[in-house]
Amino acid sequence: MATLKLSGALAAMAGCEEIEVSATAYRGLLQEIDSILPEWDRAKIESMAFVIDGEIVDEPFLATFERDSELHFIEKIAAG
Amino acid sequence: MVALTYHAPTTLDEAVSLLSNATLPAKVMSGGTDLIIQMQRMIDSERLIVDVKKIPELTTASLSAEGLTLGPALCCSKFTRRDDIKQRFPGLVEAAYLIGSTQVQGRASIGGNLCNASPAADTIPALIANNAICRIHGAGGERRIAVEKFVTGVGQNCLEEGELLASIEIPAPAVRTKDAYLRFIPRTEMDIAVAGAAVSVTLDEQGTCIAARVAIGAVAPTALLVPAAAEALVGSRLEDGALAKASAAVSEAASPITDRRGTADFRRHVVGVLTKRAAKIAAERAGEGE
Amino acid sequence: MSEARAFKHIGQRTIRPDGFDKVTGKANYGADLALPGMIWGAILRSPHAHANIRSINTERAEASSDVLAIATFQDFPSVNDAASAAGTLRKDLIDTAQNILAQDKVLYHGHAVAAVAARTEAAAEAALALIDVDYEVLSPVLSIDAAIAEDAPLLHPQLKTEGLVEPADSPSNIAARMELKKGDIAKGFAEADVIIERSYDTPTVHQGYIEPHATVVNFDHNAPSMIWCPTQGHFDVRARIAQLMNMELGQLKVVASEIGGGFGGKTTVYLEPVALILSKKAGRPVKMVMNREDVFRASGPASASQSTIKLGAKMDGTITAMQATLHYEAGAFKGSPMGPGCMTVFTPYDVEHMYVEGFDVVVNKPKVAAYRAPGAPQSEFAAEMAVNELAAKIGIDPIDLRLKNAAREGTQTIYGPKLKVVGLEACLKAAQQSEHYQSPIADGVGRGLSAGFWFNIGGQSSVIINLNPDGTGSIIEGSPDIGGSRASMQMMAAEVLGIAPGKLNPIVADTEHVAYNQTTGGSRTTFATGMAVIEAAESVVSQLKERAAALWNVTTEQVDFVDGVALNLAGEDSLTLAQICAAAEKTGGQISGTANINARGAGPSFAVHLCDIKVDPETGKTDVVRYTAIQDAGKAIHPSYVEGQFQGGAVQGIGWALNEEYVYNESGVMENAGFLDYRIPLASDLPAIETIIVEVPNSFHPFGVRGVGETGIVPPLAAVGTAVADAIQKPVSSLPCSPPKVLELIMAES
Ligand SMILES: Cc1cc2nc3c(=O)[nH]c(=O)nc-3n(C[C@H](O)[C@H](O)[C@H](O)COP(=O)(O)OP(=O)(O)OC[C@H]3O[C@@H](n4cnc5c(N)ncnc54)[C@H](O)[C@@H]3O)c2cc1C
Repeated sequence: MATLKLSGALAAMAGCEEIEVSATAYRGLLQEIDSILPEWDRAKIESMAFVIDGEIVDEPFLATFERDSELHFIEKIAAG
Repeated sequence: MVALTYHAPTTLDEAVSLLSNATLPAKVMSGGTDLIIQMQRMIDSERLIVDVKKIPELTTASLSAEGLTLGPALCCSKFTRRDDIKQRFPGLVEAAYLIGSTQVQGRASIGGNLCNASPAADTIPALIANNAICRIHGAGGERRIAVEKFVTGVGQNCLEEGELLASIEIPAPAVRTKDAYLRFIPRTEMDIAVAGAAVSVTLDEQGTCIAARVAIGAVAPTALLVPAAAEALVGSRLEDGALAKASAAVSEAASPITDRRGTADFRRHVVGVLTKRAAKIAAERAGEGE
Repeated sequence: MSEARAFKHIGQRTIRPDGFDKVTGKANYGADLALPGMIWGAILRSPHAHANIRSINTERAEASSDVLAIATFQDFPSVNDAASAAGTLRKDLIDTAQNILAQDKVLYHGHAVAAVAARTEAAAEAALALIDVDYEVLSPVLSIDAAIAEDAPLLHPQLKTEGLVEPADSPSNIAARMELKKGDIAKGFAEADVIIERSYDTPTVHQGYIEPHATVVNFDHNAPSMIWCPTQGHFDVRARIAQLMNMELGQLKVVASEIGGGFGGKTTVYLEPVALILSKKAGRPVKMVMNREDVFRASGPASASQSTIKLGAKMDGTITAMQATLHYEAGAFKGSPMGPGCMTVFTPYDVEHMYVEGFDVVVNKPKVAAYRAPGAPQSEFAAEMAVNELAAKIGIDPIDLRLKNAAREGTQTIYGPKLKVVGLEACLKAAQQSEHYQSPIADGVGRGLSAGFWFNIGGQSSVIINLNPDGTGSIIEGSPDIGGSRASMQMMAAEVLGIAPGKLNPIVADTEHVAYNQTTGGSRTTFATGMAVIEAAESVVSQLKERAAALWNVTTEQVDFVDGVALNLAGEDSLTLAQICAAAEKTGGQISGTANINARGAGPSFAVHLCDIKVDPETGKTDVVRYTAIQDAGKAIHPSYVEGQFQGGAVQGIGWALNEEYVYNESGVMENAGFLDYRIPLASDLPAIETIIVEVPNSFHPFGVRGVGETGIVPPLAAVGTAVADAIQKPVSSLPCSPPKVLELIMAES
């Protein structure tokens, strides 16, 4: 099972700091969380970058990951 | 936007007649490094510009036994290259060398710096410390006035309509007399003095100060001659005590403002530091002899 | 990738292809374009820092024969429609529109209120007086303290703080709050032998690009309307204008002129949409140019900040807890870089317990824009100052303290992910071994050092490489070149193709001639656009192999391609790239390669800076006597431009730390809106900035590249602050270290 780590407002909403997920792709992950946390702000999450084992993926729509991956959502970094 | 009528006379009399017969608001132009910038903000729709750089006597400097006669429109880069003048008045040359940058000095003049009468003008304290006199030429003839009296306020001088500055005259200094000028800016160049101090000292053979003039800039509406600071130096050998007194005297005489360039307290303090340091440099130079 | 890889072109110091035109004055910048029939636009700016607009009356201007067009907020079609629609994007768009032309409130002195177009620049300026604006003046809010005070006047009566634990019920000048946690901060402090807590502040500063904003716009009903401007991201200019003006992307063509500096400040739009409105109304091309004063008063500065840092450590130098409270000024509209500030503040440290809280605060100053590593210099300044003080308190060398706690591969960051291979330890060791750090400190001189971190980003880039029949070619890319990137693109393509870099002409194409590219920012260009260049070049190589195979009548597998030459493995033949191109006509037409990528795997760049400063004890004047910038570049494609980025970042950071600041009067008018009194460092102020390039390759990039453009501005603030503190033996907590402030510290009772 991959682990989705939650922090800040996300953790507060979920009431926990990590969730085990069986998905191995970003799209599947979103669906899975839809069912675990129906009240989460999916639009907001979709505007965020996705992190797979430390690699930041700005556009994760097609991203896949390993069964033991560690996953995060982070704010997209705009920059100068 | 201003519509300009431009004249570049070649004699002083021609310049004076252009100015006294002017029907438009008239301005004398030397290097134009202040004037042209100021013109962008002028509201008059028409103006007469009398460029004095083509008048030979206004752009020459001659050094003789009597002293220095300085054409007010001589550009700083030519002035600062005059080793003979630098030898006599190193502080004044240093002040001219501080104006703007190499490019600005190719145009800027000491006369323009003086007539523009900015509180922070670099050469004015150095002129005052050297006892400089303004020779003013007008339709009615000539008059002379000390530099410290020539400048009357922020951007104000005592020229009447139709008059112009014809020369700056510095009497030959006594033996063992030298000057120094220091200014404070947070950077190294291209900045306006936050405070400035010019000191001229005369030493006797033993190295005791027998005469001094101290002038400060950027700490009052006009550059100030500070006799109390000079008195503190006279009779001393520029020991720490005398320097501290001179320093306190200029801080006391200063009436600085707080603005984007520095606070009043800072300026009051720093002008004292500069005076002390300039006095030391001047005394060292005076001690080294001619 | 192996570190021993030998490169032929990469790592060389070639001459930049854009250099000749720039030094001879041929290069065309924003204000250089003139079109037939062109007229001029001018902007009426608010004389107040905070006021309600009761009315804008354009009747007199309309009646004037000089005035060819007028623009106000009402001319943004889509924004008006969207005003009631929900959604963050829409809200951001309204903020953007209101910043470009005020709607019912002016929020800073210099805020654009209306614009006119006339035949000449002077006529346009003069016509501004014909617009009558009736203001109800309000008290300005000019600092974080004033903005968050109980009874502070509100800039936006609807604005409620986002990110609070309990949703806000009343409006506030705090637009957002962010909280990041790692471990248990209370436990971390309980484990500490030493705890220090300090507050710091930094001023509003400007990016200081030498070229002011400028644009020429030609609206066209029948063809794409042309927008010419200096920008870091012409595709984003196109997107913004399309949204604001309710146009299709295909109705717009944005041409990026040469750009005279951006540093993040040219990632947004100010004049361009206004010029488009004026051009549309007047039926003529419109040119608009800001002067330096406009740039200061109305283009994005970087946030002023206030930070409190609390650190706990054991006597052996193990940091047990790091806590920060960070406030950032957003300017007139929400959206300071508070988020990245929170995320970066402690990233150089591998510490178990961390807690960071950040606030985005609106004030009556221009809306901030990105500035190199946005948000990081402010927060990392505070953290690094505190870490240096901690080192002194424990009595441990500041580099040793950092090495003991340094972030490394696997370190859990406070913002979530674990770091991959990073070069912080390598930079710290390089600093420790440097001649600079080993050299004794002269009398009256203080020494400071600081680490710095920035993420770097990847993102979308599109590149086309076209080869000519003689083997020369062009690289068509869409990343405006603000730091020598065209040279790097040439070198990367040349490396893959095995030809001399000068054979390839790099072109930054307009939005019609290359597919979408993300803005040049986030230190992404050499990394991401470079990756696209490599991919396009690799595609060219595989085509070259196919063509050679066709010429030899062998299979592609039987062809190798080495150093620009195809080799027939089935025989003795070889063909150079130029020979294959010359025969391309016979083998299926000319050769070109394209790549459209969304680059992943940007590698963070860490830096360590060392600074020696002499302070005049009687005047507080500072003099930087020696400065060394050490940074991990992953792989330096063009070492001179990498060094240039390190040096430029260092110099801008030194300016931020020493003399730069916006000075406001009580009514909120900036008093130093010009380079005379907004004191950026001059060439004569600073010593040559020494550089040490550390190369810890980024495994996600074919050549190991990490971005280098931003990290370099992060460490100078604390390196300088600590050096000054060391020289005067007094704590420094407030930037800039301008002489009056330093003198006050010197004179203060210990
Ligand atoms: C980039 C820059 C940097 C600068 N840095 C400094 C600096 O570091 N220190 C400093 O002190 N100044 C500085 N200045 C200001 C300016 O350069 C000096 O004051 C300079 O000496 C003015 O000389 P000018 O010949 O250009 O004067 P102008 O601009 O020609 O004249 C100045 C004023 O004097 C009047 N005037 C000139 N000549 C006469 C005359 N013969 N009789 C009567 N009136 C006359 C003019 O009408 C005008 O009002 C700087 C200016 C610039 C643009």
